[in-house]
Amino acid sequence: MILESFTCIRTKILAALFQSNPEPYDLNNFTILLVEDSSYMQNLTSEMLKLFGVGDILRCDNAKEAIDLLTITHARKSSRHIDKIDIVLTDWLMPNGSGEYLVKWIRGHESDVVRFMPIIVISGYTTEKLTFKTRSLGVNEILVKPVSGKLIASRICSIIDAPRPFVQTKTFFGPDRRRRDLPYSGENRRSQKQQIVRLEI
Amino acid sequence: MTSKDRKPGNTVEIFVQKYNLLKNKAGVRTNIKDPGFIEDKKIEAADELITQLCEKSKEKLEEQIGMLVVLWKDIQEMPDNAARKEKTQKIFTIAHEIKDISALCNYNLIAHFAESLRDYIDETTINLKNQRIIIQAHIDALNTTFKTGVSDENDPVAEELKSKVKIAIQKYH
Repeated sequence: MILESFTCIRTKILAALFQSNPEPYDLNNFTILLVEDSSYMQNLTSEMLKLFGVGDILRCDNAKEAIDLLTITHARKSSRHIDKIDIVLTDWLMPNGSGEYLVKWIRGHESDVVRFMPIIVISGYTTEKLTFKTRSLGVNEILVKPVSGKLIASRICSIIDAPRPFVQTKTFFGPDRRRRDLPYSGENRRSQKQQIVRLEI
Repeated sequence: MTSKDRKPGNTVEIFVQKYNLLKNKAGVRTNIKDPGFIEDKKIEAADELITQLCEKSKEKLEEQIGMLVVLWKDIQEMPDNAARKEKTQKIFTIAHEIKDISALCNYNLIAHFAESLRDYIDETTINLKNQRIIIQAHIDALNTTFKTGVSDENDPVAEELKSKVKIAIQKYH
């Protein structure tokens, strides 16, 4: 009888621990670096993030400002911000340093703390070319303007839900561009043999 | 040593996170595989903010289009120097902003012309008379669209304005 009760309680505890009900995200501990040249859009996006409950929003007008911020804070080992920036949300088309410039700088940085940062690009351009370009530069998510609450929320959730592994080859560094691992039965046309090394970070 | 110090050669290196730190930071246990979410009421509040901003967007657009007209007038009287380049860049930025605001607030036709103007300025130096005619056609179209309040791109007025800009581009580009 006692053993049965114990088993029952243990099952309940385990069920509670591994429950699969979706839970709401609390973004109060999150810091998002927002890079947007238009003050109108910067204010709007920032206010929307605040409404989502994001605790800290660092705002920059262009890539150069963002790089300065990241450089200065990274140079200080006891940085207040560098370890805390969880997501970079950047516009693509900006004078004085574009989104492309910022993405290249982040992904090419010597420090893992910087180069593994998740990046969401916001763009008013909707071309397929841009989508391929952002993907090949190592952007995690792309958000096409006009923005909406649902769109921004979905991109943030996508980054939190399932962070994709980062891939490094001779020509690419960024999140795995394959979102799904589908079986492939065709001929292997890759010219070079590739060795896959899995590293835990 | 950072991960960057490794020389991959022909190797594909895959970096996998031990734990989903962001999920943990968002207050959800990392062993839960299901996707989480941002509460609907927060998303609705964010969308409500857009609605409120859009209620005031007409004034903002009027101001921006007015600035565009003034800048364009200045540029045409200026020699080709750094100051003119700066003003041209300003026109590009304003067109970009007009496009963002109008697309956000469903002024689709204004967004269309602003985007077209922005892209045109991006790819030209505005030195030639022909290029100026194209810019002028865009600014006229933006002004008319704003004043008539047409937002549906299939409206006959919209079709006519789009056709005028298209003809200017085809004829003078």
